[in-house]
Amino acid sequence: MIPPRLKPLDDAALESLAAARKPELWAQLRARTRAAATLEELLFLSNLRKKAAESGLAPEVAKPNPLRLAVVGGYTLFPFHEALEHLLSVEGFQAELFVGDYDNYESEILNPVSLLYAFKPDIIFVLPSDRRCRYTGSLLDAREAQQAAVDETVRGLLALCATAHERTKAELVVANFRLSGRFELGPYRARSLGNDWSFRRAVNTGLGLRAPAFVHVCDAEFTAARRGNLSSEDQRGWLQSKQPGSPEYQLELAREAAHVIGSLRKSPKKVLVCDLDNTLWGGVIGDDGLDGIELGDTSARGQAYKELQKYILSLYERGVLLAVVSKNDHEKAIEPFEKHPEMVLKPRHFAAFKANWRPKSDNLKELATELALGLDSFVFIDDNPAEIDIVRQFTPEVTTILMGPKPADYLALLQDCRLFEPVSITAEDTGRTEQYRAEAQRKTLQESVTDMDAFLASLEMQATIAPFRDVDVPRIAQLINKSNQFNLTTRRRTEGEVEELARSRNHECFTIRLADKFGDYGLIAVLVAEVRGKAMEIDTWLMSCRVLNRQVEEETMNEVFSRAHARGCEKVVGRYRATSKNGMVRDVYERLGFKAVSSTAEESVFERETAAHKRVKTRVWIEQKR
Amino acid sequence: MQAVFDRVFTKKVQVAAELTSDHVEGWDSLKQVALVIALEKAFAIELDLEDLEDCKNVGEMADVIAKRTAKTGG
Repeated sequence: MIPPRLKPLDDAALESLAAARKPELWAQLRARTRAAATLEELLFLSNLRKKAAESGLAPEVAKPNPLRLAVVGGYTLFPFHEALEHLLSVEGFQAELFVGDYDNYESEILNPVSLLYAFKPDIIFVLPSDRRCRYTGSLLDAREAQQAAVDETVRGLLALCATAHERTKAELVVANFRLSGRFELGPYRARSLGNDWSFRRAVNTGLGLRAPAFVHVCDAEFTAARRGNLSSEDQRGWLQSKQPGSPEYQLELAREAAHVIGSLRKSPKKVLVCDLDNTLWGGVIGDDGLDGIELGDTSARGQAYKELQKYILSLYERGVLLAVVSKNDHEKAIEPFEKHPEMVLKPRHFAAFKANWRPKSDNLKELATELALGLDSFVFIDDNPAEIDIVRQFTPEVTTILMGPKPADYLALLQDCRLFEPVSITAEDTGRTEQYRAEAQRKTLQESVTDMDAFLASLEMQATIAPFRDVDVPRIAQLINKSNQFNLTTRRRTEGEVEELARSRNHECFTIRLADKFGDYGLIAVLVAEVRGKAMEIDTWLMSCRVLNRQVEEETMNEVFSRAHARGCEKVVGRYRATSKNGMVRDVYERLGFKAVSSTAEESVFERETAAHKRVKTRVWIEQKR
Repeated sequence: MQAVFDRVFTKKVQVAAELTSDHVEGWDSLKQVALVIALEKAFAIELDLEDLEDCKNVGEMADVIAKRTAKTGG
C-alpha cells in the first residue's frame, strides 16, 4: 500500500485538534480514516468530523454541489451509510444522503412517487438482500432449471436497476452477494447450482457480465473473500438489527462502495513512471554491468523483477503509459532494454525515457509538459525513500509508491495500489501509447518545419463532426470527467446525463474526431451548447490537449456558429470558469473573436454576434456525420 | 461510559444514572446500534440489543455491562 505521509495521531490528539478548530484536522482525519481497522473507530472519526464542522471549522474544500447519494437495500443501512458518507467525505466527495428503509429497496425503486425519487439522486447504491438470491427448488433439480433461476435472478436485479436509471438518470452501484464461509454441503457445494454458495457465485458472475454501462458492481463477494468469508458473517447482528455482516466487513464494504463511487467522478492515473536500478531489476547497471544485474528465472530475486515487469507490461496493454525516470547515463540505462535477454519491457513500450542526473521531480515536470498531461495523472515508483521524498516535496501532485526492501513484494504493491483500475475500457485507451508516440514524432516534424501553415498542411488532418451517438457515450463521459486543462467550464457528468443531453431538443451537442498522417487520435473534443431564446450558450467545451493549436478550436467555432445560425440565434455566449488547471484556455474565446462582457476571478463571460462570425479557413478537412 | 458516549454522539451528552434516551436528541434505535458496537469495543464484551431494550436508563445499562464484564472475567 501507499505509505501514509502523516504519522497518524491518537484519538486524544485528534480530539484536541478538532476542539481547537485547527485546519490540520482534515489531513489527520484522512490519514486515520484510511488506516482505520474497525467500524467503531471509523464512526468515531466520522463523529469527530461532524463535531468539527458544527463548531465552525471550515471544510477543506467547499463544494457547492454535494453528490446526491441514495443508499437502499435489504438490510438496516445504519451505520453502514454513515461509514460510506464519511469515507467519501474525507476523500473530497461531499455527499448528501438518502437512506432507504430496511428491506424496502424494491418498492422504493418500483414506486414512481417514492421518497427515493423525490430525493433526485445522482447515484443510487443498492445492497440487495441475499434472501432474494437463492434457489428455491431442490438440490437435485436439473442443472438447466437451476441455471434458469440464476438467469432470472440476474435479470430481475438488472431490471430493477434499469427502472431506477430510467426514472432518475442516476448511475447505479450494486453490491453483489457475499458467499458463506460455513462448510455446510462440503465439496458437494460446487457440483450443483441448487445451493446458496454456488447459486450466488453464478448470479455474481452473471451480474458482472450482463450489467449495462450505467450499472457498476460493488464486489461484495471479493471484499468478503479478501478479508475472510467466515469473519464477514454476523448472525447475531443480522438477527438483532438486520445488519448486512460483521462490523469490520461493513467497513470494508463501505470502503469498496466509496472506491467505486469515487472512481465514477475522478479519473484513473494515466502514467506509470519507473525508476530502473533495484526497481525494474536488481542491482545498479552502472556498477554491476549487463551481466551483473539480477533479472530472470535463474534466481528468486531475478524472477521477482521479471514478474513485476510482466505486470507492468499488462498495464501498458490496457492503456497505461509507461515512462522511465532514472539517475543514470542514458547509454547505460538503455542497455538492458536493448541487450538483456530476460527484459520483458522493451524501449517501444515507453512513451518517454529519461535517464540523467537531474532531480527526478524536474524530470517529472518535463514529462508532464511533453506528454501534455497533468502531474496528478502520474504514479512514480522507486525503491529509494530519498528519491520518493524529493518527488513528494517538489511535485506533490504525483502519487508515489515506495517499493521497499523486498522485491518479492513489488508485484503485490502494484496490484494492490488501486490507481489503475479501469472503469470501462474504451477503444481509445488501448491505442493511447501509439497516439503519444506519434505525438513525439509530430513534435520532431514541428521543429523541422518553421512555417506553421505549411506544418499544419503537411499533417493532412481529417476531422469528423458528429452528434452524440450511443456508441460514443462512454468516451464522451470519460472526457467530461477527465479533461482538466482544455476545459472551459469543467462541468462533470455521468453517462446517464450525457445520454439525456443527446436527446434534449434545447441542446446542440457534438463531438470531433481527428486523424492525421501519423495516426488516429479518436474522439478528442466535446461541445454542448444550450439554445436560450435568441442566444446560444456554450455549456461545455473541452478538448484533448494533444491536439491543441491544430485549428480544431477554429473548426469547433465554425460548427457552433453554423448551428447558431441554423437555430436563428443572434449571438453565441461563452463562459470560462477558472480552476487550478484550466488557465490555458482563459483567453481562448477572445482569441477566437469573442468580446468579454463580464469578468470576475471565478468566471468570465464572452459574446459574439452570429452575423459577425465568418467561417475560418483551416488545414483540417471536415466530414459531417448526422 | 462517558468516553463511549462522547465517541458516538455528536452533541455533548452528560452521562448520569437517570439519563434516558428520551432526553437525548438523536438517540434512536439506529443510534443504539452504533452505541452497542462502541460499548462492545470499549468493554470487550458481547451485548444483545434486547438486554439494553429492557433498561430504563443509563444506570441500568451500566449494571448490564458490569454483569457481562464479570462473566467474561474482565
